[in-house]
Order: sequence, then structure tokens, then C-alpha cells
Amino acid sequence: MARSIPPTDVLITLMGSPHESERVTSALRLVQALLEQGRAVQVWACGYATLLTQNPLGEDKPRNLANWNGVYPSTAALVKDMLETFPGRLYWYGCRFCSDDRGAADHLPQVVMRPPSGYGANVAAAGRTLQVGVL
Amino acid sequence: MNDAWGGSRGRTPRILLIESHGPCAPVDAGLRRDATAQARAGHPVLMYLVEDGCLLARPGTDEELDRFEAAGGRLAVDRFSLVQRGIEHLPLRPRATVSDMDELAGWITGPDVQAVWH
Repeated sequence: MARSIPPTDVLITLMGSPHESERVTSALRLVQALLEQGRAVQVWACGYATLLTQNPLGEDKPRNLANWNGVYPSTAALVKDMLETFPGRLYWYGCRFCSDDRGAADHLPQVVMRPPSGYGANVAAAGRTLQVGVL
Repeated sequence: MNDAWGGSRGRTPRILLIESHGPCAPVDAGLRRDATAQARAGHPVLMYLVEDGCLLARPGTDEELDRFEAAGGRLAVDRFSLVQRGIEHLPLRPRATVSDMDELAGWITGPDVQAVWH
């Protein structure tokens, strides 16, 4: 039986290499702003963006040699925090093909892995779709 | 900004273009050319400059944006991107407005809006 996709106001399709640019930061800022305005949001991570929610990333990034005592949350921790802060209004999906292809097999429990063929159902469940980045 | 951009609500789609590429990106100014064409066609077009795109808000950086503004297009610049680059105190194009992500979120979810991220 096909999974039912909860309707959301916006679907953000996040693609591309996470650390190539500030794209992930911008996307997370936008997701947070939408949620704080009471909107429901789903994120579909595709390509290397599927690496963002892996459990092995832990809570914090590795130590910064230029700021030894600084603590920087991992992307997995940021996503986890938003999912827990906005239950029922933020959904995070990952493309199973892209994730498997990159060996990313261990994600946050709240992340729903979806087949590429299911993407259309996510688009249909969104009032508006915004594609951020390219594969 | 919202009032001016929303003036044609209900008659024609409002176009929101989010430009994250700066003047030195290894891509051409295709999005900016499209923006100018849409503005000249009479569509309300708002371009949000984010990340390296905020550098285009400086005067004299991009002739295509000069044409875009002359055609009636509106420019908004991401404050965070300006601050991150230490250029928040430098002069910007006179008609560009500094905005924050919450305003962009409001525009994206506004009625009759077609949004594209580049």
C-alpha cells in the first residue's frame, strides 16, 4: 500500500553537495522561517543532500582548529532539533536511491526514505514546490 | 515592497526569483536575463539576492540587473548574506531593499506566486 504523504504548504527539494556552498544553510534558514510562520513544510533530500541526516554525524561537528572550544551542531542535529520543535509540521524525506548509492544507510529515525518514483506523490501533497540546487 | 509587488494580485502570477550566484560565478546571467524579459512583459518580478548573489546588490556590478530594474523589476537583498561578507555598510543599489529570510518565506507562500531558486 502506498504511503500517504501529509499535505504541506511547501516542498523544498534539496539537491547537490552539502558543503559546496552555503546552500544548506540557506535552505535550513528558509525552512525555519516558514515553520515559525506556522507553515507546514516537507524537505525531500536528493543526491548528496541525503548525507545530511546520518546518525554517524552525531550531535556536533568535529573540533574547529581555529576555535578549539567552539561547538557547532551537525546538520543531523539541526534537522533533528527542528523535527522535534515542529512536530506534525516538518517532514524530512530522503531519496532512497541517492542515499543507498552513497552508502548512507543510517539516518535519523524521523527521516522517511522514499523511492524516486514516489517523488510525484510528495509534489502532489505540497501547495508549492521549490527546488534548491542541482544534482 | 509587498504592496508594490502585490499590485497585480489575481491578474497575473507574481514571479519570485532567488539568485544565489554572484558576479564571478562560472555561469552566465541567464536567470537575470529571464527576469528582465519577464519584467518587460509586464509581470511583477521580485528578485531576492542571497549568498554570493548579494554581491550583485552593489551598484555597477551587473548590467543585466540595471536593465532589470529599469524594466520595473524589484530587488531584495538578504541581510544575513551581506553581514556574513562584511558588506552590510557599503552602498547598495538605490532601489534595492534589505530583507530577511522571514520576508522571503512570506513571499514564497503568498498567493499567485511562482518561485524559482537559482
